[in-house]
Amino acid sequence: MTLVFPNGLAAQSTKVALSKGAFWFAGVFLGVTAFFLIVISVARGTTIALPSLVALALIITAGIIVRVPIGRYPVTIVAAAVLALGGYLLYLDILIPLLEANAPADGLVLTLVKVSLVMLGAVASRYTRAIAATLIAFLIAEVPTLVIGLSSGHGYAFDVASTGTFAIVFAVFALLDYSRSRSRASALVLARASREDREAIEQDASASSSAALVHDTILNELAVVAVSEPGPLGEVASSRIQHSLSLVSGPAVANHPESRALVTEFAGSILSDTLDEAARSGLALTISGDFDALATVAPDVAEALSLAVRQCLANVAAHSGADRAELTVLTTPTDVCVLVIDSGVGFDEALVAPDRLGLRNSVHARIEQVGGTVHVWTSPGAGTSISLLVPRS
Amino acid sequence: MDLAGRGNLDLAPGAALVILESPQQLDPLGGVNARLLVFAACALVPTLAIVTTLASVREISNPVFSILALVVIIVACAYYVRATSPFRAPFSLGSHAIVCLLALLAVALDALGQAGSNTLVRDDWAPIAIAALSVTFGSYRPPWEILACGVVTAMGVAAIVFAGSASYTANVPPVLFAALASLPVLAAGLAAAAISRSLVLDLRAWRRDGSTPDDVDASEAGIVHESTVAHHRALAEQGALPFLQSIVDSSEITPADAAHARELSHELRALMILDDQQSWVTRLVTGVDDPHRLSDGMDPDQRGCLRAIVTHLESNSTATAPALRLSFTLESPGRIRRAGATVCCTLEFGIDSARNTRVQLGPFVAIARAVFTGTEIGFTGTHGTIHLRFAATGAALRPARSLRSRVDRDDPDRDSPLRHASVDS
Repeated sequence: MTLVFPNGLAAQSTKVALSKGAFWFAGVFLGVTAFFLIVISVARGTTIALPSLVALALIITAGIIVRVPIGRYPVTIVAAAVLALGGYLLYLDILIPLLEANAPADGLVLTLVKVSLVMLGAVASRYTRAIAATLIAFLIAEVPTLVIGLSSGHGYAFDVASTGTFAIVFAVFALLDYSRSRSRASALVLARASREDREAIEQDASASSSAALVHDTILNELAVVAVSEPGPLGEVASSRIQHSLSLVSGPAVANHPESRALVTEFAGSILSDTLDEAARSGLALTISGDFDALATVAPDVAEALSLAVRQCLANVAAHSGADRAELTVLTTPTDVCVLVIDSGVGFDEALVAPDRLGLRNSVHARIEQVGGTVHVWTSPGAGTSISLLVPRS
Repeated sequence: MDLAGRGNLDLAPGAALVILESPQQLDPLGGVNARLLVFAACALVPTLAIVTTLASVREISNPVFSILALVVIIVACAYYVRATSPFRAPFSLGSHAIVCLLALLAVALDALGQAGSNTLVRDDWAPIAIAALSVTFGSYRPPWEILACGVVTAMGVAAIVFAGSASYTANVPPVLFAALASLPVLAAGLAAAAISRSLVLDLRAWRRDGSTPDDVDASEAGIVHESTVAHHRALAEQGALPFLQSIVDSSEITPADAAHARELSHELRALMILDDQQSWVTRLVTGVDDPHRLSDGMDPDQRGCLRAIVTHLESNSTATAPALRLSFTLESPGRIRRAGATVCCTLEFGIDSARNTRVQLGPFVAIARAVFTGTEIGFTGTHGTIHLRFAATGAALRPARSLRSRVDRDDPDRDSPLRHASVDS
C-alpha cells in the first residue's frame, strides 16, 4: 500500500525532519538576536561589537552550508556545528557585558541565545543522542551563567525559557516515541493487509489463467469424448488430446522452463491452427490488416491474444449463426488491436448465461491479465464486433 | 532507503520547487502519530496563557479583552484538536487558516487587554502560544503554506506589538519590540515548514523507490491465508487428466468413457463456475453481498485498506459479537464502466463495549479517508457501520447469478461445433 510508510523509515524520517526544524528554529533565533545586537549598538551610538558581526557571519555561513545538496544529514550536522559556534560566540558576547554592568543574567537576548543553543542539541542523530545532546547544550548554556553569576556576587535567575525549551524537546521526542509504538499495531495490520492483497491478486490471476487454459483444453477434450462414437481414437484426436494434456501438465505450467517453451511454441502456432480449425468447421474467414504486427508483442501477450482470438472464433461458429467472420489486425505506435467481426444474431451481453465462461475467462480475463482491454459491440440481430487491444512489447 | 544519505534538496530532474503535497496526504498514519503533539501543544498553550495572565495581572488595563483572549485561544486549541482527528482527516487549508486567525485574534485581544499598561514584551503569552501551535503544523500541511502562514502571522503579531509599543519601558526602538515578539512565531513557522518539507521529500523518495510496506512475518497473529488452490484445478489434475491420458493410452473410446467424460465435464464446469464466483472479498469476509462484483473496481490501496479494517475488527471482536457483513451497492446511475459511477461499500460490525472501538479504528479511518472518495462512520449502541465510497470505473458489472441454476443448465452436449476449439460463449 502506497500510504503506509514503514515504521522504521518513519522514525528515521521524522528525526531528520525534527533536526532540520530545530536547525532553522535556532538559526532564526540567533540571526535575529545578532541583528538585534547590531541595531541596538547603532541606535545607542556605541561601537558595533566585533563578536556579533562574526557570529552573524557564522550564522549566515551555516544557512548556506545547510543548502548544499550533498549527503543531507551530515550537512545538517556540520551546519549546526557552525551555527552553534556562532551562537556560543554571541552568548559570550552577551553574557560577559551583562554581568559586568550588573544587569540581570536572564536578559531577553541572553535567553534567546540560550534557547537557540538548547535547540541545536536536538539536531543530533537518533532520539536518545538528541536528548543527551540537548541536555549537554542546556548545561553548556546555563552553567556559565550560573557560575559567573554566583562568583561575581550577582546571583542567578532561573531561566524559564531555556529550561522550558529543554523540557519541550524532551517531551516531543518522548511523545513521538510513545505515539509510534502505539500505532505500530495498526501499521503492522495495514502492511500485512497490503501484502495479503498482493498475494490474493496473484492467486486470482493464477486461478484465472488456469481456468481459461482448462476451459480451452481439458473441458474441450472432455466434450469431444462425450459426443464421440465408441471406437478407436483417431490419430488427430489423440494428438490433440496429448497436446492439451501437455499444456495442462501441472500447477507450474507457466514457470517450468520446458512447459514454458511449450506454451510459447503453442502461442506461435495457435493462430494458424485456429484458422485451420475455423475452415474445418465451415467458418469462412476474411483476413485483413497488418498481421506482422503480432510479432511486436511480448510472448505472453501473443499467447493470450492467440487463445482469445481462438475463443472468439469458436463463439462465432457456435452461437452466431453466421457462416463467415472477419479478422482484422490494426496497429498504433503503442498497441495492437485484433478485431473479430461477424454479422450473426448478436446477443445482449448482460443476458449472457452465467455458466458460459468462455467470453469472461478465455477472452476478457486473459486479455486484461496481460494489460490489454476487450470491447464488445453487439445487440440482438446486429452482429458482433470484438476488439482485443494489447500493448506492444 | 537511506534517508540520511540523500541529497539535501532532493531536487531530482523535474521535481517541483514548490511542494504542494502535505506529509499527511502522503502518510496518513504520520498525521495520527503527530496528533499526540497536537494534544500536548493544545494543553500547554491555554495553561501557559492562563498562568501568564495571572502572573502579569497588574499589566491588564481591560480585563474583558484579556478574558476574551483566553477564551479565543482555548477555542483555537479545541478547534485544532477536533480538526486533526483521523475521522476528519486530512487537516485542511481552511482549518489551518482558522487556527492561525483565531490565534492572531487572541494576540490582538491580549494586546487590547494590556493597552497602555504593558511594560514588558517578554511576559506576553500570545506569541509563544502561536509558536507552539505553529510548530505542530509541520506534519499536516504543505511547507509553502506553513511558511506563508507563519510569515503572515508573524507580521500580524509584529504589527499588533508595534501598535502597543508606546507603553514599553525598555530603551530600544519600537520596531525591535515588534521584531522580538514576532521572532518565536517566525522561527516556529520556518521550523514547521522545514519539518514538512523534509517529510514530504522523504515520502516522495520512498514512493519513488518502490513504496513497499514493512515485510511482515506471515506467522504473526491474525494472519489467515486464503486458499491458494482453485477448486477446478484439483478435479482437472486428479480426475480429468488421468482419464484423458487413459484414453490416449488405450487409443479407444468406450461407451463408458463417453458417459464418464460427460460426468467429468459437468463437474469440472460446475467447479469452474464456483471458482469464478469467488473473489478476494468473498474470501475475506463470510457475509458478503456483492452480486455484481463491484468490489473488483477497488484499486490496490482501497483493497488493502478494507482488508486491514476487516482484519483489525475480526482480531478485536469477541465470540459473542455479530459477524461482519459487507455489502456493495452502486450509488450513481449509469453503467459501471463509465467514469463517475460511485460504489458504496458498507461494512457492518459489532462493538465490544469493553474496548474503545472508535479510537482503535482511528488509524484505519485516516487511511480510508485518504484512499476512498468518501468515508462515513456511524456507531449505534452495539453496532458500527462504515461506508466507503469509490469510483469504480474499472469494475466489471456482472449480472446476479445463482449457482444452482448455472450448474443445472450445464450441458456439454451443446458445446462447440468447432471441435477442439472451445465450448461456450
